[in-house]
Amino acid sequence: MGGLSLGEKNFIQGGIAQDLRSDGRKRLTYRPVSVETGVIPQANGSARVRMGATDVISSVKAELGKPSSLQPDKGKVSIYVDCSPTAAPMFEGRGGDELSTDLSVALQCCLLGGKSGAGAGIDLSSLIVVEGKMCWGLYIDCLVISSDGNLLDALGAAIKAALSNTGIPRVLVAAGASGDEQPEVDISDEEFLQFDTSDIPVIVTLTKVGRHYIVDATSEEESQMSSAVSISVNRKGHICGLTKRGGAGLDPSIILDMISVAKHVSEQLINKLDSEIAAAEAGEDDS
Amino acid sequence: MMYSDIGRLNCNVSYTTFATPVRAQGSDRKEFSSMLHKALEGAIILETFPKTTVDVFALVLESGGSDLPVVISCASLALADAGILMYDLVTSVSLSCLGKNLVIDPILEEESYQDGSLMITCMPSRYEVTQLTITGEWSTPKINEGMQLCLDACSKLANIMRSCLKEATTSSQE
Amino acid sequence: MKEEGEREVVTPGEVLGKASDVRAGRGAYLAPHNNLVYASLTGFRRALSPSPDSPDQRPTVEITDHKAHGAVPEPGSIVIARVTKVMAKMASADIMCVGPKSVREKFSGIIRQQDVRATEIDKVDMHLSFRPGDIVKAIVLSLGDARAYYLSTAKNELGVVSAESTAGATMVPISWTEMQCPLTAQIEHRKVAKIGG
Repeated sequence: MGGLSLGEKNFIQGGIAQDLRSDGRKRLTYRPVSVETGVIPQANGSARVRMGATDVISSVKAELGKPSSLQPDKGKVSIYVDCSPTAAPMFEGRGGDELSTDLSVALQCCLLGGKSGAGAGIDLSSLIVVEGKMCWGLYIDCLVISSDGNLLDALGAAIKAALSNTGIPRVLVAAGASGDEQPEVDISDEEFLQFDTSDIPVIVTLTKVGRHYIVDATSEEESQMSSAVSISVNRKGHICGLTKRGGAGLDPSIILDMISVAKHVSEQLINKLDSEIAAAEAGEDDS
Repeated sequence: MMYSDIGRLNCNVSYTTFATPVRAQGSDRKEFSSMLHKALEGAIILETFPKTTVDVFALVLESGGSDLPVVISCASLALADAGILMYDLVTSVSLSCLGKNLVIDPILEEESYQDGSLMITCMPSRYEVTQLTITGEWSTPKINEGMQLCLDACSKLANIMRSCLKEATTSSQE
Repeated sequence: MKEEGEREVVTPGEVLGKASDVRAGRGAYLAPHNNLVYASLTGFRRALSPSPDSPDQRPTVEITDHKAHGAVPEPGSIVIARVTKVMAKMASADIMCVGPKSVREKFSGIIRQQDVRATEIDKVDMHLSFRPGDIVKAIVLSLGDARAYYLSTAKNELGVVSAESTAGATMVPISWTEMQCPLTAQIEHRKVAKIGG
């Protein structure tokens, strides 16, 4: 968003200072969120999340693979983001690549926890089939269809919704597989295991414009930001990850303040998302 | 390349093939390059050199843990030595959370078993955080403790960096 | 402006003083949020006392770089350039000196047709103003486009200062549009700079 006039910029900044943004929201109000699940039949789970004009799709594919030698008792999860060039002109060519990598890294940092797997939103040990030999690898691919700011929060919500929509086939391990060989398995077509997604955190991005910070910024508002902090918070109110964007420095006390605000906002967001996801799942079952 | 009113910053982090325990494991570190860019861009006074690009190349010779913080601090030293106008030096420190303990400046082994990590990049004399990355599950008091530890370490590191710069300056004059 | 000799080395981010006491000069900047003046370079600190008649009596602190850098052209600086290519609408030149200092990297400049002289700017013939190899004195108009600086010779004291004739001798200026070869007495057209006098 380069083409804002001085008047428009002042209008956005002034509105935020007075707690009344250009679309009538308060500083800490989200846009209406709509969730649709099961949008991609080929995937093990998928979801589409819309926040205002921001529109993202997330799909989960599960494949059997070998666990890494460092962590034989854990499955693998990888997250990739792709920005469709139709979403915004700046995504064409290399601009999109850079943003995609940034978003992928931020999501991995916010959702996958530490290297030992502690604090991850997805319980990696539940993905193991035969310890040290076979595990499920989850490939979470996200596509940004339309961008109007706050991509990270929308992507986080889409992943959460897609995972709660995911069913992983039950695997029956043939008995008697000897030491070094790959065990023989029978993948069930009918029985699916559901994920426990209650621990998956939501991402709250606080965008600092002037002296104040706002949630769920539109791209117009993002163009006026000095910096943005994305904080992922789980239901227990623990921080599961944090990243910062934007070059401007922040005072450490402001960051701590942002964390406490994010915790507060996340409670409402988690509840809202859970009810939206439940409604979407119910709607899908009916049809 | 297009004309630009302000300077540009271009960062690249790479590893030698023998830097990691497994050969050529970390050779492609795109995300490190973008993290380095984000950490430095706020500190450089880009307005002072229009239509100019500053290239920062970092080559990790041997990876022994805490790579990115070292790369960032080192790059800021190099920028200061090059005479690029900066608001402040940039120092960076990371810590690992292992069980209940916080360890500062973790080595590779500690990093691979960590439950969580926290990395702070700051401008020490302005006391501003330019980058902050947290992974793993943290409670607020623990974040507080971790941030304070890192910030203290950052200011100590800054003192060392300053004396190193000053030494180089005085010795080059003689 | 006189210098108060003091050789203190500072590094970026060090506080140089309060905004009420000192003014930020080169290599220093003022942080508006706390009104402190910080250093932005590594180098030696110098304090310049203000001229006695200025209304602002705060001394200016500046940092002199510890390393010598090549000169960089900026709008308004007088440069010496060598013409590399003459086209119908413009001539390109490589900048060799900025003021009295030689440059280290290559900077290219462009003299457009309308910037060659001050009058009758639409009747300028580029080929009667410059030849490749000429040394010209020019002023930097602007940072130009991504490739080159825009230069101008539209002043009496700007233009060709040294040129070789086709015979290979250094020519002697005889008017502001002509130069003569001392060997063959042949007259060639140039936009000649008025030097001295």
